[in-house]
Amino acid sequence: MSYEQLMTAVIEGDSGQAQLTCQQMLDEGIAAKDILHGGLVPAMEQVGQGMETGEYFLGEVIMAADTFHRAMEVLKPSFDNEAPEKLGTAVIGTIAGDIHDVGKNLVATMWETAGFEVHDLGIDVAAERFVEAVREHSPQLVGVSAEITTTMLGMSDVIQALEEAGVRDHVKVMVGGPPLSLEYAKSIGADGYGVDCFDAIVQARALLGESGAQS
Amino acid sequence: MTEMTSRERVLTAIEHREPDRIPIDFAQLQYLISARGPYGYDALAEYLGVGDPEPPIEMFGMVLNPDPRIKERLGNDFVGVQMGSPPPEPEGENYLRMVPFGYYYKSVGPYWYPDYTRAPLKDAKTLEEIEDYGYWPDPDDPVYVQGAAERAKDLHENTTLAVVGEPLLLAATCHVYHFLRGFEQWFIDMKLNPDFYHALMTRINDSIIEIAHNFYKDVGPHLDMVCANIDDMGAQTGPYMSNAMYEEYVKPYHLKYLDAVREHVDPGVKMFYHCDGGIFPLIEEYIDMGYDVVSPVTYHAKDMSPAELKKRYGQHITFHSGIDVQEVMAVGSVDDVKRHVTEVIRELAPGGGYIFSIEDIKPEVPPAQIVAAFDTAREVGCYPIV
Repeated sequence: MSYEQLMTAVIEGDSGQAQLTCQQMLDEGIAAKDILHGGLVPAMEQVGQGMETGEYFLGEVIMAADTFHRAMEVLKPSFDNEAPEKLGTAVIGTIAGDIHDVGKNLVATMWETAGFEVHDLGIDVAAERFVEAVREHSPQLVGVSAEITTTMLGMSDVIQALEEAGVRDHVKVMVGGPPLSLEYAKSIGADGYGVDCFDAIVQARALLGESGAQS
Repeated sequence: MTEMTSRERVLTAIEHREPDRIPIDFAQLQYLISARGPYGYDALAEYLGVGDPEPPIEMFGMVLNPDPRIKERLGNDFVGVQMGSPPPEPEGENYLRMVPFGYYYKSVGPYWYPDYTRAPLKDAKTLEEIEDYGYWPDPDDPVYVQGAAERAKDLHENTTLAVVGEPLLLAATCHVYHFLRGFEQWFIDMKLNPDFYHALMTRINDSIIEIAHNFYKDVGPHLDMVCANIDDMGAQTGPYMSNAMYEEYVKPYHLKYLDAVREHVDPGVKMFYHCDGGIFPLIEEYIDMGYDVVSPVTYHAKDMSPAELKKRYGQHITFHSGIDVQEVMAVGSVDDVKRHVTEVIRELAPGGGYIFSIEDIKPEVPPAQIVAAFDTAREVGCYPIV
């Protein structure tokens, strides 16, 4: 079994084939982290590039992300012995009053592909819940998603709550969603903004440095 | 130019000729204004001095078919004949289980959202589970058609408004699929379980087609226009899928529904498609299928600039709305609104092929903004556009 076959399965959203290939590669003695970094991650990067050039659409990204998750299920037991390098820890959630989760779920997956341990707080997440999660998981990165302009306005509450709790300086806050812009992100004091789920990786890496935040 | 009736104005514009002014739709073809506050419908009525406003049709926190005095004041040219539906089943304080189809809507603050996390068929694996599901509609339930034909006939004979058939969410095969299975699962089913995908799409589509036959056979002769589809096909970043994938997985269903409606209306009746998102390449498909109007033209979505849309497709399809609800209508000033409405009209209206409207104004937007938008449309939208 080859990395090319695995990449093709992920790109085509063929999760059955991807799981089978992962298992066969493990059986051949290939390390799980090599399968992750040599096959799954490059496949997701290729999907990201394809979306940028107009070759792929949201549907392909969702199918590839689902395939990535299913392939990771096969690899995960092997990580117990040889944990992959972690870029950092992230918490992510959709802002209070908003239950849209497609974009947030994709960013969570993409951050996983980039090496983050991601704690997904779900949808309609109150500012206090973000604070609790920061205390609980000590992440370097907090992601806040909004679909609607008016729920987006609540994003500054999250930043304020982090400040009031005295943990704002411990994390980088990234925001995203259809109504957002870099200007808006800056205006509410966010550290970063991702145009889409792939840009969210680029920006997270830029914020934390390639080697990951070592806080 | 001599003043046209609303109906003449609408049909002239859709035939890509310049009427006396751009036609205006206020909450007839799609949801426009929120039912609940902080602002919303009551605040708008109060702002316009309309006392004791008639209760509108309310769905998912949004308003359709508001008080006629509000519509007239804002220059509206349309009137909808809505399909009925059985009442939703309340579950606790925050949930409604919709009938037919049995998906869940959740109340969060002033909003109502479809709750994909409670998609009732998300764990279904077999075709039997689809068939055994308890919330398929009975197409012969009189609730869908009750009084509609009489209302359509009366409106067509006794008003000059453009009369529109409106099945609401009973013209949304893909959305119902999303609600029943989850949005992501829709794509995953296409790829991993195509037999299941086509069986469920067919079951949904055939249900709404049967209801459509029952509705349009008597309503159809009195219509000028039909809301023939409200499946959103785009995100902010572009279409949900390629044209090739649309042609394979979705278009046959949309076309079958459209053909069913066409059996009951004159060939001149206009077909309206409400489709959110960055759908630029898909508009080619919609033209091919014979839709006459596409809305809302999501202003900030990928490739949806009014100028490009008009240049590429303006000869072949009519655009509806095109107003930015993500920035200008959400957080802009009255002056921002006036400037923006003027700019969009100057891009989209020349030569006809444009209907002014706004989709989905959020409840936090003050009425002054909404009134400014519609008043500007009537001022700037007189032909010739300058």
